[in-house]
Amino acid sequence: MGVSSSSDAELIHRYRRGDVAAFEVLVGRYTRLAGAIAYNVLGDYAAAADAVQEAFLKVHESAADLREPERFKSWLYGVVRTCALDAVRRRRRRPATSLTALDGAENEVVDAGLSEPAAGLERQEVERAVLDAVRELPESYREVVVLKYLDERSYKEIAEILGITIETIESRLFRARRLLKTKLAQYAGAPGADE
Amino acid sequence: MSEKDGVMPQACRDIRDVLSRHLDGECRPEEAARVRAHVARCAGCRAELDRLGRVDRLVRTAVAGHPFGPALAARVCARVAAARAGGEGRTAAPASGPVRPGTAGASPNVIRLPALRRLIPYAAAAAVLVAGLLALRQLDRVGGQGPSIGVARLGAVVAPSGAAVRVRRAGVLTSVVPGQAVELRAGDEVVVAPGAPGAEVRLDDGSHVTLDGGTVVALAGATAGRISVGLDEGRLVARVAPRSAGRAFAVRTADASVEVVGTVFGVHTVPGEGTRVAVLEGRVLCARGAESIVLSAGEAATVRPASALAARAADARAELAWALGSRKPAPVPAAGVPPPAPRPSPAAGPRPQPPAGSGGGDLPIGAPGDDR
Repeated sequence: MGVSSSSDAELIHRYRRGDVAAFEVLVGRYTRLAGAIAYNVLGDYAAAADAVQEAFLKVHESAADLREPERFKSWLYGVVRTCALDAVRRRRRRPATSLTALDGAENEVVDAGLSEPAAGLERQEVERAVLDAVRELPESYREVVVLKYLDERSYKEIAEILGITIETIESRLFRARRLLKTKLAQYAGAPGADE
Repeated sequence: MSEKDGVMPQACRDIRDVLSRHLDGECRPEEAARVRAHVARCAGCRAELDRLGRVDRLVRTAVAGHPFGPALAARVCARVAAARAGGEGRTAAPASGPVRPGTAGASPNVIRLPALRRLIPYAAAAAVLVAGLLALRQLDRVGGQGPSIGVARLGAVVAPSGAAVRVRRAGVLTSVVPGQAVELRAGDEVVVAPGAPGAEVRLDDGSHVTLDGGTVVALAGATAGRISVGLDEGRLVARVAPRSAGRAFAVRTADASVEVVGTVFGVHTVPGEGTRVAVLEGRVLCARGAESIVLSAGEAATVRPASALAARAADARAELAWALGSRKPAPVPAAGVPPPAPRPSPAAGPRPQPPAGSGGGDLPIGAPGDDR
């Protein structure tokens, strides 16, 4: 059995013994989950990617002392969330660089010199509207939506990560979709609100 | 079923309560059958399912291009490698006692207050040192050519005339001037604009990686050690220098990891569709989770979540022609020609039948010779 099929706990043990490849497998396995968690808190991709890097640095620093490696996933959830909240706090201390401003700056750099056809602009507009609608969801709903769509987790996996029941996941997704349907009525088709 | 006087029938209410779950494929089989039967005869609920489906696709499309893929994973690995080497000014050894899952809300490495007080006399000197290091790092980010702190140089990228190639380092994008080599370090991301000519990555270990237009990769590793290329989207051809033990060369996509045993191979990934691997020379180990298969010269595999991992004979030279000097498209096999028999993964057991309508399980991402 190769390293890529090892359990999280086994990968942690291997990394403690100096197996760098084991850490790379862990990173590959959980980058999307970590990104989804950070994005839920921060609301923009660039800041979330930074928080993911910070979080895995903490994982690297603390791997030797993690008492229950078999619960790595839920521990990682806490680490990523903490890093993302730290980033939010740093932002608050530097109000001049708002999330929106950073988002715009990032896009400006990425788009520089790349001509974008009108259809692409329209698509961007729709995507922005969708992401804004997701951002405006109550946090408990947004958390489930982000894990569902960004990390493509099943109800069972989301329930395990968040420590809540599958029924709660289902209920939050149901309500989140009703809200999204209303907010995105012009793109998803009327009627927007649930009858 | 119909709505009369604005009052929804109880049967419709019951169905609408589970439409969201149905959309996610989380219904029990008998429940899913009940939903299908109901929406087949109820226009209102059918319209509601359509609307929810559109919302689902809108959200899915909006997040499809998110940057939390293999390229970010490669950058994370590069940054942690730098930290291991001392470049981040952190130590790998934790400063506190064992960390319990669930207590990670606080920083895992806790320094108690009295200890901090003892450190105050050193704080000013440390601040000066940190400021100096940060200034160096900032110069490093802006210039992109100066010495790096604890980050391995891996090679350089060269863009041909007319190419729009950028290197992202620490969030800053730098354009690559055609004909001029830009140094690449672990953690750097190379972004080739869609529709433009590709770029050539020349690694210091002698390996070459050709990137097509519309490709995003990030590099991790060390010049004398492991090299890992995270491929978020697009396609590449790697001509890998001979490897010794412990010096693996790997390309990772969202679907697969391809590890080199010494070879020329191509990897093409389309987010949400899958990854195509074709080998021209040598052998590679292609893995998806616990399943893996060795691909030899003249073989290819498509890697998708729902289909079995299997090697098939392929015209690898035609598939990789875009990067190997000839961009002439390979001839498309005549309709009706049966595909070569697949060689299933030994770890995968008997090859399962592809689901109905899947067209046999090969990847429609422009691989000439694909039997789809």
